[in-house]
Amino acid sequence: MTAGSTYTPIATQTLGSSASTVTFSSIPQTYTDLRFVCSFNSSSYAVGGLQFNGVASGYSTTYMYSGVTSQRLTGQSKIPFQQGTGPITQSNTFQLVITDIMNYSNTNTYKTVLWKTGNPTTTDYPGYEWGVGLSSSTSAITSITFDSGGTNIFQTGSTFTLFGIAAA
Amino acid sequence: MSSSIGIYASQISGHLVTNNYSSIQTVTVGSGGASSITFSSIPSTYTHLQIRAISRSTISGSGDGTYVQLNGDTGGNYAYHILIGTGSSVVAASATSYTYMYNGDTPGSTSTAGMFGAFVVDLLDYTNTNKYKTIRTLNGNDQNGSGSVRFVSGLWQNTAVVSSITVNSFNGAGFAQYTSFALYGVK
Repeated sequence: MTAGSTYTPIATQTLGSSASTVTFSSIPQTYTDLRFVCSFNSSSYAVGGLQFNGVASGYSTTYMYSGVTSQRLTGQSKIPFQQGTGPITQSNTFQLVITDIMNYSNTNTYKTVLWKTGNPTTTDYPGYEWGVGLSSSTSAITSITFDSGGTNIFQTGSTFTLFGIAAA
Repeated sequence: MSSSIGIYASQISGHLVTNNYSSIQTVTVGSGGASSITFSSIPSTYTHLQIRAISRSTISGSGDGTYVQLNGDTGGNYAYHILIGTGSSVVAASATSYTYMYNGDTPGSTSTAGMFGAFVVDLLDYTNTNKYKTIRTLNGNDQNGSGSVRFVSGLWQNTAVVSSITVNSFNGAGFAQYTSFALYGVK
C-alpha cells in the first residue's frame, strides 16, 4: 500500500474587474480528479454553470435545492447551477461553489461532476443546492469555463481556484 | 469580458498545506469486473479518510445501489439516512439495525456506455476508539434523462479502529470495467 501527498493547487484567479466568464485552460493531465472552488458575488441573477473544452452542448443535470425541490435538465449548453450567481445586493457577501470533477482525463468514461453550493444572503435567492452533472463526452478535460450566464456578472474580488487530486 | 489564463507550472502556488491529504490506495476494475471493492490494512496515521470514486454496476438494468461495511462486520450494527433528489421531488429514507450502510446509486449494464456514478465519501475519526464511526456520502448519477443525486449519512455502532472498508453492489452484481475507488487519508 503506497501513500502520496496530493490535493494540489493548480491555479487561482481573483477578479480585478467584473467578468462574464472565467476559464482555466491547459489543465495538466497528471491528476485523477479536479476540485474547483469558487467564491463570488454578482451584479444580477443568472444561471451560471460549467463548460468543458469550450463545448456548448451535451450536458445534463439532476439536483436538489434546499432539501425540498429536485429537478432534472437535459440538452444543456453547460452544467447549470440553478442556485446560480449569488449575492447581488449584499456587499462583502459571497456565494461558495465546490465542484468535484471526477476522472477528468479518463477517455473511456463520460464525465460526472458533483457539486454543492450555498447562497448565504437573506434576499438574493438564498439557499443551498447539491447536484450531479453529466458531460456526455469521453474527451479528457483540458479546459474549464465557469459561465456566469450574463454580461460581466462576476464581480471584483471573486476568486476561483482549481485543485488537482491524484490517486496512488 | 472573459477572464482567461493558461496554466503553467510556474503558476502553481503553495497556499495550501498539501501534505495533509494523501493518496493511500486505488482500486480500478479491469475488463473482467469485480465482485466488490476492499481497502484493507488501512494505516492508522490519519485523522479522517475520504473515498473518491466513479462506479458502474454489472447488474442487468439501468441502476444499482452500493453499500459499505467496515472491518468485515456483516452484523446488524449499521444505520443510515438518505436524502434523494429524484429529478422531480426530494424524498428521504432511513434504516436501523442494518447489516450495511447504504452508500448511493450507480448506473447499470443497460445504461449508456460511458456513464458512471460519482461518490465522495468521508469517514471521520476512524481511529478514535471512543466513538462510533460516521460516514457521509455525496453521490450522484445523471443518465441524461434519469438518475438521482443523494446525500447519505451512515453509522457503524462500533468503537473499533477502522482497518478495512468493503464496498459492494446490491444483489452481488459487482462492478464494471473502469470503476475506480481511491482512498485518501486526511491529517
